[in-house]
Amino acid sequence: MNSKEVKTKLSIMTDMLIVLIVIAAMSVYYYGLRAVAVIGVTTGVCVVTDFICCKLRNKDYEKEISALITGLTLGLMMSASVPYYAAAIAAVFAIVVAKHAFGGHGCEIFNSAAAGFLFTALCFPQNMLTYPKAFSEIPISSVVSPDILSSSFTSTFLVTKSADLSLIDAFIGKFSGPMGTGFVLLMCVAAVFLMLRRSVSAITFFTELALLGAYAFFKYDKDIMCVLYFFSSGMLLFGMIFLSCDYSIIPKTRSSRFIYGVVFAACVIIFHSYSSTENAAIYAVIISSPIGIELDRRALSFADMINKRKGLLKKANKPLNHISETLEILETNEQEK
Amino acid sequence: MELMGKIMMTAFVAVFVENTIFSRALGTSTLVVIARSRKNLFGFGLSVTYITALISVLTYFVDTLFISSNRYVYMPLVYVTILGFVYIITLLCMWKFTPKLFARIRKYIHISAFNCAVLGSMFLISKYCETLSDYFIHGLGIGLGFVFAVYLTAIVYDKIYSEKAPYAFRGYPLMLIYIGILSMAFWGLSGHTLNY
Amino acid sequence: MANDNSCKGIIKNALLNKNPILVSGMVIAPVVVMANNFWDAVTLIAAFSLITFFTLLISSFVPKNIVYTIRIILYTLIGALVYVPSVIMLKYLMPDEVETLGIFFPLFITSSFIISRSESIFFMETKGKMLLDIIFCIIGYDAAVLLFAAVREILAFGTIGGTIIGMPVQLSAFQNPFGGFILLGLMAALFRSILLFVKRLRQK
Repeated sequence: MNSKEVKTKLSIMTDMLIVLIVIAAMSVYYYGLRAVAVIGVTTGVCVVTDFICCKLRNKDYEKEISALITGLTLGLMMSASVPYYAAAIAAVFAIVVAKHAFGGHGCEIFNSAAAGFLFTALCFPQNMLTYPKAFSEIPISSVVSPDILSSSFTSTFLVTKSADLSLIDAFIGKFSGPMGTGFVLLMCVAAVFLMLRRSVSAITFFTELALLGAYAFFKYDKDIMCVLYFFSSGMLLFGMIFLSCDYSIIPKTRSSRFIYGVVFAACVIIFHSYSSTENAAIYAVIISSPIGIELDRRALSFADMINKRKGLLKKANKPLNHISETLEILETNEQEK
Repeated sequence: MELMGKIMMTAFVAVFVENTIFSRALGTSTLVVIARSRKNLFGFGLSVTYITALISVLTYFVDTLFISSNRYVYMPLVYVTILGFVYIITLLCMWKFTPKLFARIRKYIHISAFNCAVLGSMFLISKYCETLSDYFIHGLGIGLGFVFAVYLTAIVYDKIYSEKAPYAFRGYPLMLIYIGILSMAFWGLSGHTLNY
Repeated sequence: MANDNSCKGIIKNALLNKNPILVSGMVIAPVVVMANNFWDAVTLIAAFSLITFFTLLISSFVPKNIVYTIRIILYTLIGALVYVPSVIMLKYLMPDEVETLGIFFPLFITSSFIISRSESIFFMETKGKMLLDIIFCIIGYDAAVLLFAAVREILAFGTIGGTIIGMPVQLSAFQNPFGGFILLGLMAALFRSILLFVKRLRQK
């Protein structure tokens, strides 16, 4: 790995971290000390588990921030009322099973936070899928009384296909749901920031946005408010930015990223239509991740085929991140001719 | 149009919602073996799908003939006989009419015919389907679902057997964890554990 | 180690180095789906042991000059015939548990033991060593399944053999097939680590 690549990865992760911290600050504003506690547990357990795993594997613990990002992402996907042990279990699963079992950072097949969240949501559905209202008083104790909890805005919207939510409340995320995934306005700003910094793939994001937007537009009889509710619900926007565009799992070539975006959108649509599951984005990220790996391989063999045809055999063995350079060379040669 | 929709829905359920590997774990041992070789994937997948589709039709006719309270005792014998019959006829036809294809697939045709996914499909179809079209579409769907699962596992073979993975996890344990995580995601489609 | 054909080597391979479920990945489906608790696992291993042992024993007498295509069909037919008295006997002894097994009971007829391992390993050995290998492979499988089911029951239900042991947390995801896959993967990794650790200790 050369210093340019290291700097690029660190830069991407730093941008992600900044954005996640801002979103975390919003969730603290909404849910108070409880949010701090839950995010603290997920982040702390992720970092400690990452350290322990590195030591067990006899690897030097590089002070990289991927574990921090996983912890923050996981924390923001949780309900503010989730018991701390559930949050900790999700963090341990994310780091041990979804990250280090596959070889550590850069070798994952699935987004660690998504896998950890999904596992814990299936272990403790009652705790993970019930939410307190924003600005309500939530005790710091590990287990919260169910009296102050209710089902999410997403589950209501999925059943009734409508919502009694004003435009402003939808934009600022003032509804029952995960701590950090409902701030539509903030997500949009975050997406623009990350795309301008090239920390998130614009191709993937806009492909997903277009396809899912079209789906919601026609599904909800061209009601723009329902389209907004659709994107506000089910961690969809959050999943599109922070999970599906995760640097470690997203395909590396442009064409692959486009197809990957299509696959992700298709999976969300299937889950949304067929199973009416609450967090379709999480399931979609898990299923589309291995397909992203195959897309890169296909793109490479396609580029190799073009190289061989053009007689540029010596360039056929470049690693994946030089595919775009290979294609540029071919285009330049065509223009020269 | 309605019939087409029903067929598509049945096929979708058989391939994705009630996927042989991810939802029912049938044929996992075969998947572990066959995912190692990406070259034979297409041939293997085609032979499994062909066998499940064909035996599903034969199972329909057999089920209409054998109706008894002691089915669970002797039906495995009947199903294995059908499977053996289809296996022999297929091999004979291929040996006679397409010897090159026969030479290519003879190494793995027995695994594609005699495995838990194929035999399990006969029991499941017999339990949950009623009409001939249901039997056939489910049989076809089970075969395609198995192939889909094998493909999803084969595409990450390099990562699962990579030297970067810890030795304790490399290969078989990681394959199980990978199938488990994917299975978690597919579980979301059905939302409950399926009956057997 | 891999080519050790002595009795000790055969036993060691069958129980540890090539344990059917924790190393070789054989007959995974019933374990992942059905071995949710200790008593279900007992029924599972009873069914598996009966069908596998008697099928392999009888199949070992099938003449090897019969073409492979027919031999493989004969093995499964023998398995289906062995299944009949096995299911009648187990249904008499534990009717509810056999009902729970569902389609996985007859699926042992086409298990990897009977379809592939028989031809590649068992039937290449002398009769005595073959019997030893089969018996200890079955013991290795049974022991691993019981251990797996016990751990799974503790994690998923907080009980063992139906007795509550007071676990603070119950991870209900392990009740489902996906939980079975993940837990089996983790146990296989742990087993491999232990084997490696013991091997390094011996080398020192």
